[in-house]
Amino acid sequence: MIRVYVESIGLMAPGLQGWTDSKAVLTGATTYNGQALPRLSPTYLPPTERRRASTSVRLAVQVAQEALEASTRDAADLATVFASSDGDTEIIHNLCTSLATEEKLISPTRFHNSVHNAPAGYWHIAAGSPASSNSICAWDQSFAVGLMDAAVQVSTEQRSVMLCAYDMVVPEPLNKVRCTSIPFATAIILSAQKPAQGLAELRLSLKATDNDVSKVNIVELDNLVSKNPMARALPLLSRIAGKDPGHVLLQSTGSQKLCIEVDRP
Amino acid sequence: MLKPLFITATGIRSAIGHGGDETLQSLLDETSGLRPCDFDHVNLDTFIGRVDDIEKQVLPEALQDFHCRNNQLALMGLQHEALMARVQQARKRYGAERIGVFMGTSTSGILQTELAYQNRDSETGALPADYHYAETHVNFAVTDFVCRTLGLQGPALTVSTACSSSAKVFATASRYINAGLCDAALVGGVDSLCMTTLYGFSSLELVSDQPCRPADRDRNGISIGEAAGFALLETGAGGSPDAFALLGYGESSDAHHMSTPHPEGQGAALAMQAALTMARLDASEVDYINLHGTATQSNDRAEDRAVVSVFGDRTPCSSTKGWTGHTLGAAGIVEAIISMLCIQHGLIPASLNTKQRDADLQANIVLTQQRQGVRHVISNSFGFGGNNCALLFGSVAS
Repeated sequence: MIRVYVESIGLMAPGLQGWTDSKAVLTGATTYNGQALPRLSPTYLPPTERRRASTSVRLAVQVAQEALEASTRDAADLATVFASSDGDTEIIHNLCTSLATEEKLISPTRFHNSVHNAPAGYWHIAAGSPASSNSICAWDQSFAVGLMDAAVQVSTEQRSVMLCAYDMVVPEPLNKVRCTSIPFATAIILSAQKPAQGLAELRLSLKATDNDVSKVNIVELDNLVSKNPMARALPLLSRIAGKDPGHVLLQSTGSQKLCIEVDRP
Repeated sequence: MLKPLFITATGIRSAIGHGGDETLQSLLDETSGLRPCDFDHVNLDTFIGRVDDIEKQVLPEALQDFHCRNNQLALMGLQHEALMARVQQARKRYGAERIGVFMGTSTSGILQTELAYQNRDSETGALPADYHYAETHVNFAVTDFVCRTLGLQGPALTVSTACSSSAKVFATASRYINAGLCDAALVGGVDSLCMTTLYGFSSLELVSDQPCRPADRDRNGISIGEAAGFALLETGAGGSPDAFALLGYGESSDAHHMSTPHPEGQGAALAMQAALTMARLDASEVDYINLHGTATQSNDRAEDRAVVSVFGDRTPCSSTKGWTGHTLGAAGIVEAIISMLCIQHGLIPASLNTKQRDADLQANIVLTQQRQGVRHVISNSFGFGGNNCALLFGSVAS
């Protein structure tokens, strides 16, 4: 069992624009409206980088910035775990389209932006942070696995870690084989010691169990799970928003599920 | 303080051969695996570290949807009797859910997507019906394939931090085992030739038109290679006389630029220092540094500054990319296994292809192969996005 504390959260998806403004929606106090996201332009990135960054990078940095600003942490010593199921499919689409032509000319910037750890690179450059950074994926389980990877770092290395889990809309024609139709991103700053003003205490373990994975009891929110793999974070986010102690069960890899016991901070 | 882990079995397939024995022989003979680019889909004036006969590798009947160059290469890298036997023993001893699988890759089976885009329906733009995205293209595909091939059911993830990917899996495995989430871990890395990396590095003008020449005055870029490598990590050596110990790791970020290293190698130095600190070793106790040594002007210069700032100018070091090429997401595991061979056989490889040592470099770049006792080795891997990882290995006796 791994115990970590949630210091702060960032969130960005249609109808869920920012953690603070979304709490009422997540608890069912306000109706979900699904309003589409505006063009994101996180101020944390220097203007030159903001121009160069792809929509995936801007989505990831947007939630990371929100979580950072709501915490007491200094970005320069915050380790990070970036989790994405599919990486930057818009860039993959552009590269593969160019590589299907006779000339095969591809843009160098687009190529270096195509690496799975591009958002992590942009973040650490903007933060001036030499701290360690992991970029992982585990298909539909990327949120659960990313959360566990961040928690494992918190517990074994006794340091604060930010998880940034994001997936952008998958473009044509790849959307026929991977139907991610909305953007969804959340960032969670975890620490080993109880913070003065935290959001929750989490106790994580991996279990082989036949019990059903958790769902959000709000149908409009539950529907998001089929539109973006990172929306599988919603049962956890909903419980934290409602300061509602209890269990959350998420599918993990192999035959295992991630069991999260959520407590008030 | 994390418990050190033992590497009880390995498997490797690269342009210089299949398994530790062939790899060692090639290192001793100084025969490079690089050859003029003859990869079907690419028309570039460069050299590549290609693995022969990947195309002929057949996947298990139940895993036909995973058919792609990267998973074929993964299977070739797994096919070592000692490794397979040790993994099955571990599965029996600990249980299928108690063995983690942590794989590094930068591009997984993207070649499959490149080919699918070349074969889009001319009217509808649709991708071919036999294109399997989840099983080939995504970065998790190789990890999924390895888990299914070996019947492993525990924690699994792909690390994709460009060219440090399969070094960082050792750190991930160490943490998961120390946190009690698994009792053993199979770590590895697989990256295979594709158009994205060959044309991509070429667009950045980082690809050499000759076999790469690390640390050479006239070095002008990388040679791209492909490889698969695996290592089984356990908490005890378990009577394996050839076991090695992972004594430390260090991870850092450059916070400098997406595709150019920090000019003074600050992040690289932090990673090496962190590995030493974790292993509680003094810099003087490291007998050999296997450099990232890509043979670009900027990497070799920055890494040299970093090495000298941590170790001074006496510790022998060399890059082995003149043999294998830069195997990108597989470089970490390939060079970890080479580092273990160096410890086992008392070998410090020469910097292959280095004709005229760059006078601007201060580190002790080894130009002639040395045979001597090697107790501890540091292996460096650095990736785009400024992602750095250093691993520190020793023999079980040390």
